[in-house]
Amino acid sequence: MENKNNIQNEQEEIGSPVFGIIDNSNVFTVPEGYFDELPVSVLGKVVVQNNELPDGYFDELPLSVLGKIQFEAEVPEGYFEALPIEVLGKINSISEQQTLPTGYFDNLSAVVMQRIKADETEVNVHTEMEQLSATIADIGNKHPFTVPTGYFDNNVDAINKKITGKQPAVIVKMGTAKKILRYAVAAVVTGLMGLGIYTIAFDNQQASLNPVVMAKAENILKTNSIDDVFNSLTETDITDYMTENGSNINAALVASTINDEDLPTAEDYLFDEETLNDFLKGKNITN
Amino acid sequence: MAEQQDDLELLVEFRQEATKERAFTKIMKKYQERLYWHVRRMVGGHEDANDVIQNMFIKVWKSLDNFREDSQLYTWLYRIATNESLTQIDKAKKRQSVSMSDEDNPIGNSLKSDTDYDGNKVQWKLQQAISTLPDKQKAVFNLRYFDEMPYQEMSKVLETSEGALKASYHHAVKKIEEFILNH
Repeated sequence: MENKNNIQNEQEEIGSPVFGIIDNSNVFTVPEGYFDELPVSVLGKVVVQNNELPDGYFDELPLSVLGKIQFEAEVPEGYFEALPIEVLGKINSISEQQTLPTGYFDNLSAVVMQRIKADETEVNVHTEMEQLSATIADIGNKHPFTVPTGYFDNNVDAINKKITGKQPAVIVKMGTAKKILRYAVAAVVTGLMGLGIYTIAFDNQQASLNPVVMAKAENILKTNSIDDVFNSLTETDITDYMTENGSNINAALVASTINDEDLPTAEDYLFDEETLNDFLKGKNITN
Repeated sequence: MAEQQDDLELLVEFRQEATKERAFTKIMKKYQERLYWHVRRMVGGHEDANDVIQNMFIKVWKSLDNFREDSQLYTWLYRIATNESLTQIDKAKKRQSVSMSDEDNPIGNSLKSDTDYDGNKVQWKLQQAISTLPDKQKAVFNLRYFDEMPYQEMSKVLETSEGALKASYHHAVKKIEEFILNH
């Protein structure tokens, strides 16, 4: 009663007008005498359930259970002898039906993970960009570059040639200055070689062409391999050549440094024997 | 992962003298296009890309014997290609600085000199925008957006944490967007 009063006081303190009007009395009812009869009714039901067992039920129970166990444990004669063969037969049958590639299970998890990752990436890159920048997403990720036709087919051969060719592979690119120097050397050597080939090719006494040298020269021209020939020259080759053909060096330098238009005309040579000497003095080239 | 299996077989072939060259040719054929486009997007022009890709494969030939299989071959190749590209870009910048040019974007210039270049096309504009990024950020953006590389893989290629790569990618996107909207 005291608790009830406390709760009413609490409701009044909260200040709810509804709870001030409605009290907390119970609106539900039970049949008359229900609570007096309830214990007797429950106990009666328990007794009835206990009494439903047949007489001697618990005495016979162990035998009954054992009998059932024995019945279920009975197997056809020779069952256990045949069992391994039967099981193996089934295993073989399953194996035959489900042949898998070698190493299937070794790779399975990795394959699944790769597909998951690939799917994730494919979705993520595009959806990610759509969320980050609609402008870039609209452009897409196709680049505008092109390569020369057949580039990828030839590139492998080009690299292989550099790696496994007999000539040492040139890995470091030449600087511009080095390239110019190389062309300068090539120009001088061209002059030297030209004079050399001329000297060897023409036998002054027989005034006939040396067929071996001319064949070589013709081959170089035909195969357009003059660059390869120059690239294959070493400093030693150049030095050796200069040593052997020193008398031609000045002439070669003249040939490689003089512009054709500056040369005196044929008439000048004929009319004045000093013309050539004067010309060479003008170029600061002396014997 | 089947790709990884193939690579392991190729590496075994490469380590045998009789099949070395054949295996290397297979590796080049398998990866050259992917690597070339990655390099091309980094350096801009075909000639530079060609130099990088050739030097890169020559380096691979020399060091593949020592390749430790604690990373995937493809990751390792991408790492070499990226490093070679960065070296090439450095060289281009040095050349530009020696020539006293006012222009500070040699890759952007290289793009403009491409015979196919069309400044009105958005794809080229996107490439111009990418060329303004810092070099490593450029690599991050290209690997993610064009090569669609997962951050986990990229982390191995660029030897940077996934978190840092994601942040770098987001910054790159914002810079590119700004460039495109203002040009």
